[in-house]
Amino acid sequence: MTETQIGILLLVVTLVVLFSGLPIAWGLALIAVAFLAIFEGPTALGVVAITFMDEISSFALLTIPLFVLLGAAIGVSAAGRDIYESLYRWLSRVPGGLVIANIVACGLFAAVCGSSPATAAAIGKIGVPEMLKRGVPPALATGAICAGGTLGILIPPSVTLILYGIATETSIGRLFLAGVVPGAMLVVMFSLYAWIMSMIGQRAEAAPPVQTFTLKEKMEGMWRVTPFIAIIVAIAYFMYGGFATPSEIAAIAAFLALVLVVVIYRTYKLQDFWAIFRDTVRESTMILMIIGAAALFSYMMSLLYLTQTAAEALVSLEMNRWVLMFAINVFLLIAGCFLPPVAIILMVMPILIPVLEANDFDLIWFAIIMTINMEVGLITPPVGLNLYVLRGVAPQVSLPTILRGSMPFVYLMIAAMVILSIFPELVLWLPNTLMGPGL
Amino acid sequence: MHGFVRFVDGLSVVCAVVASILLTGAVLVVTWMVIIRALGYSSYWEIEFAVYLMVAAVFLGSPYCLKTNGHVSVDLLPTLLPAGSARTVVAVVSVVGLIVCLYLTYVGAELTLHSWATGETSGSLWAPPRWPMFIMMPLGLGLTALQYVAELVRLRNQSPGSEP
Repeated sequence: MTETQIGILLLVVTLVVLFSGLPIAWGLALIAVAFLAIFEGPTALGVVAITFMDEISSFALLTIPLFVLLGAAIGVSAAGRDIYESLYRWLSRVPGGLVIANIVACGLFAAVCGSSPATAAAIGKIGVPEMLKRGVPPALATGAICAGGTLGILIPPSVTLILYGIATETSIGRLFLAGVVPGAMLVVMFSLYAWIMSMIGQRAEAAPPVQTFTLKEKMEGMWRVTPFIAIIVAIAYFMYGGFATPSEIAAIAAFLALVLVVVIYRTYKLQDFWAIFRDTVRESTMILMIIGAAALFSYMMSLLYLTQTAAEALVSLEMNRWVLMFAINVFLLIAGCFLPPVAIILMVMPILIPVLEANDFDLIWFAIIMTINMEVGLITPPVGLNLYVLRGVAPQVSLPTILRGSMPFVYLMIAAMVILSIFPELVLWLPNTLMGPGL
Repeated sequence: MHGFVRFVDGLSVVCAVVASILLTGAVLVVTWMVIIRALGYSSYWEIEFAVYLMVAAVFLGSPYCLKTNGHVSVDLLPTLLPAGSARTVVAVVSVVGLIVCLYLTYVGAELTLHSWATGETSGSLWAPPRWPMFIMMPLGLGLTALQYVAELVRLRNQSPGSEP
């Protein structure tokens, strides 16, 4: 069999195995082992265990469980409610202020949490019932949280960007910085949309009663959020000052978050800690097993010369670079509808790195484009994790309604990708300014 | 068989609790390292030890992850099929998962034994033996295989009529 034929066979087998409902980690390991055994002979299997272990026993990967723990600790506390409630009090007079408060709260929460479903859950479980109660249309209310939650993997810290950094050997600090401006830009775009929709909505029906708050009420709750903002600032300071590695910062941040959750939110029940750690262990295991298995998968692809063949084929097409970028994004969008970002990044990046380099695309810039692309996958069926999170926090809203509410945000994200393609400085300015120009 | 399922479920929860403690250990070790380094002392064992703790935690977390359906999967095929055949697909998929876990347990055990017999160390300044880390792979995935058996028993005990 030629490499191309093996490649096509691999694609078909991978799709069938992964869609069968077998956990992605076991599916990738199974395919890797089967293809190695068939096309390289059983002796090639001698390195299966060590490949898996070497991949996951890295200090850089320790960032993942620790940032997940940080997010879980804050998620269990009432910080989400505090952030959102104080924002609302400031924004109560703005049309759509409640929706905007939720979107901005998602953005802020994303700055301490590296995962999108966790962000959507933390803000959504308080925000959605509140919005529905105060008369926000269900589609807009759920769509805003669904989309706002995706900011979790764009605004640092981000599990997706950590993995991208490991897969492409780019600086995680630089990647984190690159996500800041595009993240803020998306928050603004989402908020503008909510504002416009609320203006139109208000004209159509009687204006809902506006609640006003005194300055004292506005300040209330703010002080409880301050320590978490301090954690965000501390993370940023240490990471970009180069004082500590991402893993070290993640450990300190997780430690501080646990302390703060106990001291400020008086969380000391064993039950609450079990909830924090239970979620952390589950999510970390899931991600690291996929990482180990994906390492086997890419080892197999590279040994069978499939990675190189695919990359060479893409380079030799000599497409216009923007046509190529468009094609890559369409492919990622489709893949993102089915597979989690973790698996896609680890499987696709080894092929894409030479292609991107040959076409003069910046790897840092592409990380952000790819992350926004992956975010779209999180809010589209059939595997849109955020959709299911919202079904959980708002069972009374039907999936089609959530989807209808989310679609405008998907268009905004695609628009953001176009804007970032036209103005790559939006991505690269901050990392280049703070860390010096990249290589 | 109910006793067996309950026992395995309980075992998985215990492993998750141990994993939580190990993870907390990793947080404390790294935090400690940053503090003493800031005070001017040098560190040499902390990074490796934290990695050992993390590896142990994620492998021990695996059976609990399976039990609570936390290993992400794309169940497009079962949802497209009628309820009867979907059940069969779920059963077949669980058997395949069991086989994959058993295979990985086997190669993990081989790696651990080889590493133990040769007395392999990590080659760093601290130079801990590597087998205590490797052994977590067969241990964690072996327990995951056991959890798969429990899931299969559970699936068989559910009468087809009681499906939602």
